Amino acid sequence: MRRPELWALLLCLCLPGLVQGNDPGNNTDSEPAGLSAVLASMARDTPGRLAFTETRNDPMLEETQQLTGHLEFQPPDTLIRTVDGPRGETVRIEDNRLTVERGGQVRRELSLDEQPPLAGFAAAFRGLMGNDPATLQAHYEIELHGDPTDWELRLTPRDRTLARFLLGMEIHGGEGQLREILTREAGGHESHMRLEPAKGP
Amino acid sequence: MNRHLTAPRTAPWILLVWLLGLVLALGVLLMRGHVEADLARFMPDVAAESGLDLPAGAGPAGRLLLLGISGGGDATRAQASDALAERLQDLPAVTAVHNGRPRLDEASLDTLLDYRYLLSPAMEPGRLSGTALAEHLAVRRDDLAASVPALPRHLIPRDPSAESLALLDQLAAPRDAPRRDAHGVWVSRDGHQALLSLLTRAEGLDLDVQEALLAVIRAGFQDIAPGLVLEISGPAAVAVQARSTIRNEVMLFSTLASLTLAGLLWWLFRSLRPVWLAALPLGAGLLAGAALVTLVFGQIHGITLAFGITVLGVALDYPLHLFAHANRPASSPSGAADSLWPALALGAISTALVYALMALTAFTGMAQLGLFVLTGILVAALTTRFILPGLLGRTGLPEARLPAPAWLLDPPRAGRWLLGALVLGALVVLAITEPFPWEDDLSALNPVSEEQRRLDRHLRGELKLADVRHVLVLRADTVEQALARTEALTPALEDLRASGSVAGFDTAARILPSRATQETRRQSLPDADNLARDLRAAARDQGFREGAFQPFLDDLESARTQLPLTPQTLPPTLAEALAPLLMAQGETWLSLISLSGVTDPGALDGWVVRQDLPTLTHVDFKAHSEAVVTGFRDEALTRLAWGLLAVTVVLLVFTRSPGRSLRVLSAVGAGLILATAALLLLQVRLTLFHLVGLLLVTGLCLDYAVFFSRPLASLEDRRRNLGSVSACALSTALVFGLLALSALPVLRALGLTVLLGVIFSFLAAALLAQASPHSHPPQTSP
Repeated sequence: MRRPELWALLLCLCLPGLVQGNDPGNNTDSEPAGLSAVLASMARDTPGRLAFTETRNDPMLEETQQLTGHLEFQPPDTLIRTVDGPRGETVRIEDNRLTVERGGQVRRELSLDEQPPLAGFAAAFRGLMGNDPATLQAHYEIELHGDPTDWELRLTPRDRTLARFLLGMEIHGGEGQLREILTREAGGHESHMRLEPAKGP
Repeated sequence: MNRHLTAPRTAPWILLVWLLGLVLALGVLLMRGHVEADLARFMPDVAAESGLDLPAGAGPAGRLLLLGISGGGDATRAQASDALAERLQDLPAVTAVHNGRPRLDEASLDTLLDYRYLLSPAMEPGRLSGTALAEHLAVRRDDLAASVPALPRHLIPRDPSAESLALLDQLAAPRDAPRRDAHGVWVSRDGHQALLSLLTRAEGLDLDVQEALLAVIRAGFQDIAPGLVLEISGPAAVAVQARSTIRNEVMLFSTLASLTLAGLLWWLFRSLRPVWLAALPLGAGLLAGAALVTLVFGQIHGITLAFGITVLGVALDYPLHLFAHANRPASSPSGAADSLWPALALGAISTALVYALMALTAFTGMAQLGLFVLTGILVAALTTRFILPGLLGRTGLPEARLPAPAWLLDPPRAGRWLLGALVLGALVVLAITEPFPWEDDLSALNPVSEEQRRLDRHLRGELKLADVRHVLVLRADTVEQALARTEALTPALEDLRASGSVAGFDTAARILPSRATQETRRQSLPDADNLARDLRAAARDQGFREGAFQPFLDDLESARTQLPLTPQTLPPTLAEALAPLLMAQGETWLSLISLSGVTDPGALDGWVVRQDLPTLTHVDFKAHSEAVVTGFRDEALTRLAWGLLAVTVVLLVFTRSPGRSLRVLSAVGAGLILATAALLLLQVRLTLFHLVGLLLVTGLCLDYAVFFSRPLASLEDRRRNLGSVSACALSTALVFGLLALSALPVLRALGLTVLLGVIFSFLAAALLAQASPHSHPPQTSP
């Protein structure tokens, strides 16, 4: 189980502004006005299973990548991300455990701590879907624009280790629906997910 | 024998010499006195005995402190862990502190990344060939798409073959890291405790510095997190605790013993005068003993003092005998002293002889104790003989209430038969106890509480620290040779691990490859043109953009001109990790191979023999310490035998009566045999200190037997004699009974042995050492 340490070290490599230690999630910021209303409407109206289309822009690649799949949230904290197609995989996050399946077999089982970027995504998604403003607040500085019919959340990681890797997330939604998630990683890697309620099982 | 009839006053010159001696002893103690409390200086020096001059306190392992923070919530604990680490890092007494945060500083990480093509264990020929590059790029292409990439995405342009991962993997390899929680700090498996490890600058046995540091850590923690609990363990913390236990026990038991003896004296005589009078020979003996030990050894150990004071309590017998005999109307105190002197001197000289043999051993603690007791006993005996009578005055003391069991005056014949049967039974117990329960583990004598040991085991387990018992040592003439030999041995070490004899190993070569290896790696880098061509092809196949891997090409170009890293040019954090594994000893270099989970030391020895390397040795610190203990035990046994022989000669010379000598010796033998058998029946594992106890029992029993065997004619004399010996035995039994309750295993061993020994010796001496009641029937006394 030494991977977490490795990851923490690798995250430090070639990233400017390395500072040892980070802030535990104890923030004193007040909750942005309207956040509770947004989360409450999501909890009421958003189905647990969403279909997504992800567009990835990567400065290293000639072409943008298109991925399709499903995101599923099962209260209280289980998150499943399924990607279709030849590079398909299923990532299941339960509590702090992470299981990666490819081609129908379990490829890896590891701790969420070992994958800070994914842990960041999981925290955001759990906070949104689980109507848990406290979790969201603990991990991110939050800016909320718009109103419950059409809103945009800008999330900036509070944890400095995470912040070195995950620059920020922008989440759009309205009328109880989650519509888009834009993720910006260090090194110019960008992901743009469009979400809609899943059809079928 | 020619005697003064009455000599009520001590000759002035004797008093002068005595006082001068005491002042001198006091002077020595005031000028040079130093009470040592470090247990290691009492015990045999195991590291030195192993023939390997490893640093004291097993080097870096001895400098490690283990910290656990509990209480509060996990976020609070993590915050406290960070704050404490930050504060401790700044202390000059601390070399390094780790709490689970990335352990390499930025500069070290940069150096590692720069030198990865020389340092990475995966850099074998063909690692960057065309086919290999195609495979690496396929994996990196997956990483760009995967939600769980193998290599962080931002490193992909610089390091497509993931050498940084291979290198860090190697550097983290030998020990499993402790669990890390969501806050990124080390925690126990159950998550309820935050963990830190700390390397002190001072050696582990520098207890004053360590104690001060522990106080600073605790005070600092109190500032940071007053609501949480900090527990500290590690060799130095344990040693500091042991030292304070020793100090407390010494204080407690010398006070208790003194009070008990004073109480007993007061009860016997209903007067306070004998209390301070008896303190005189004891005090003089103590002072002289402590002064002489200080002069000879340069210091006196706390355990020597604790032991010595109790053992010297035996010298209370001398004034007791005098008091018991000095209140007869018929004789003055100095007359009594004169008539007692032959028996007193015989007892004292025999006892001193036994301890003289002990004083000659190489076991510092034993030698100190021997010298201390032998000096103290002789001084106490002389003080009783020459100083006390003058102070007793003409009238002596009030009649003592001597607790003499009357039937011992004329023991029934059956008593001897019973004793004989008991001794036979005891001999059978000794003969059939197989194996003999020797305790060869030095740590069994450790005064550390079970609670502290449990804490140490717990923190050690949670922090996943290596075994400190077994070590392999490779010798070499230069650093390069040491590293090369270690590298050459690594495949065999892998086999050893695969065989299951050891769970893991750690070597210097893991942290720093030899120069030769680094140069081979450098020379095996593909040339620029081939590399650029292969890379272009592989990148195109995977859909990477042109130039996406330019940082990789740049890094490889600079690697071609790099000089190999050496211990001097290694980044400081890594040099620090290397230091305990690679050290200079005079002209030679030692490469230490630390082992963990050694399940089969025999197989390990076999493996070492099979390597057929004269430069390779296996050091088993525990076996060494056991061998040392066994050696000292055999030595102590031999000395006991020699001591008894010498005592026999002394007895024969002094008494000029083979019959009386035989009676005395058979009483001593019976006392020893019965005491030993009783210990065995009580399921006690015998240590060196039980042997010391038996030595002491020998001295006591000699005293009792010598007094019991005095050829006394009158019933009154015999009654008085029995009374004074009984009082002596009672006082000794009380003091050592107390000692058997001590928290220090060493004192407990001594207390129990002597308590049993006193009971059996007294009975044996009373029954065996008296001339047969039928050859000197009491009725015939004139």
